Amino acid sequence: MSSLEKKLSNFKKELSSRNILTEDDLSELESHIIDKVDDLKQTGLNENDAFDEAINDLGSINEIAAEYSKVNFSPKMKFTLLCFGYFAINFMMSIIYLITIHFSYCIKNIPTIYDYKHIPVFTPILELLSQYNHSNYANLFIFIINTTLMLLLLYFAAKNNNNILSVLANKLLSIQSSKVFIKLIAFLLIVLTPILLEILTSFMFGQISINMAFTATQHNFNCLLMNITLIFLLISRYMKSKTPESSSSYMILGYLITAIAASLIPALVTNISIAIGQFNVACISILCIILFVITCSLIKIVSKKGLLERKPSIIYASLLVVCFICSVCISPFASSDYTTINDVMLKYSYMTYAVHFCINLLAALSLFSDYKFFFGRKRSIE
Amino acid sequence: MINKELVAASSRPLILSLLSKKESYGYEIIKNIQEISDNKIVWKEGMLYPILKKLCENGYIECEWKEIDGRKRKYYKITKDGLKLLESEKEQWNVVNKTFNNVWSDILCLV
Repeated sequence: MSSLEKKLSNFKKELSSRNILTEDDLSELESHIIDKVDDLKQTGLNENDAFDEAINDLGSINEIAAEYSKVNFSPKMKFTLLCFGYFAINFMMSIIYLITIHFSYCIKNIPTIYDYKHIPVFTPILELLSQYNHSNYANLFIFIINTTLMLLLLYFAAKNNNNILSVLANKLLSIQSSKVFIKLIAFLLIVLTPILLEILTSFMFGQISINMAFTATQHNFNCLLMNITLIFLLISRYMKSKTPESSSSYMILGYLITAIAASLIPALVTNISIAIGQFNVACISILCIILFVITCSLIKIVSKKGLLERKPSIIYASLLVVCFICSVCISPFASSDYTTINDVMLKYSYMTYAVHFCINLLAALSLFSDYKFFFGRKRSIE
Repeated sequence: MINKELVAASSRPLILSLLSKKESYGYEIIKNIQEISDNKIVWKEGMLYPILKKLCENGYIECEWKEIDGRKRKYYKITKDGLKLLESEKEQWNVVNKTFNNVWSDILCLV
């Protein structure tokens, strides 16, 4: 390595130790310095002097870090975006699912509620609609409407500029420094609303009385489709610049990781407990707690060691690969025969609600306590 | 020596104006500004890149890594939204400029 290259790499190391600049930013500054050194060498300076002058003109390390901190995310902001992404996207998807179930419920019931057979005008319309009383058409409706609405949601969530989720995320960040009363309301909303939505959805689901297994499978397939689309979106952004640099990328990543964990944990727990022949509440609870402890410890280790900052593109790429594999492997019940394992399905759905609730609670607690568990008190200055 | 606030306020329209003429990279933009302003406007070079990044994030300019003559550089290009922003900034600066001209020409008349 020439002395210029050595000096450059030292400079880059010092800058990157501030955990503010991304790999892309560092490469750009490096290219700037090389250009400047070339220009200065042409005016007669030697390489070392040219390098020193170039670094001087760039500004001090503190000044550069300060300027970049206005446009880049600090580790805490990244975490906030990860948590918020999960809440916001999951919430919107739950609302969409609720709407489509309600819609298909209305479609199914129209011929029976509005029994206007004696009025000639309505007969052809009723005949047209009566075919939608068939459970397969209703299922198809749910699938098409659900998929279309979710793709629209994806589009709005993934837009880089003037993203509604970014606006909401900024509002959430400002809540962290507001009164306790407001924080408490926001905390309760984040923790309770998803579980209420889930309970309402399963109640509506029960009202439809279509082939539940088939619809549940379609919902699983729908989620798989959404996850895969989001993963490919993030991969294409990764190919462009090696780390997620926009708030929408962080939010989507947060949703993917947490939603997959929220599906993976119940699936793993159910499979393990059935395999060991102990499919009861006690065993399920113990397994859930073990998995939670493992997950929290992993997050703490990653954030404490600063792995997210030091090797961001490797971590990011690995996360995407893991998300992809898990998305494909999840849902062990997708191909099962529901009629013979109703008991399992019921316990599985209760456990899924419990797991979702715990994840929401954990993420909301982290958010509102300023991530003290993960980052400790020393880093709260950032 | 130009006032710090003036330098900061003028940085965005200057960058957009340069990029509206042709695609460019960071170091070239800095050199151009120095030439055009007769070395009177001097930027702290580390300040430019975050501004470019912010403009890119807001969709006013696009960025792309390109390899030319064996050198890899990040090139920036103005977008339609960027051109619109530039027009609005130009209008604002013209208003200020006109006002100053009116005020100062009156003073000169008085003298």
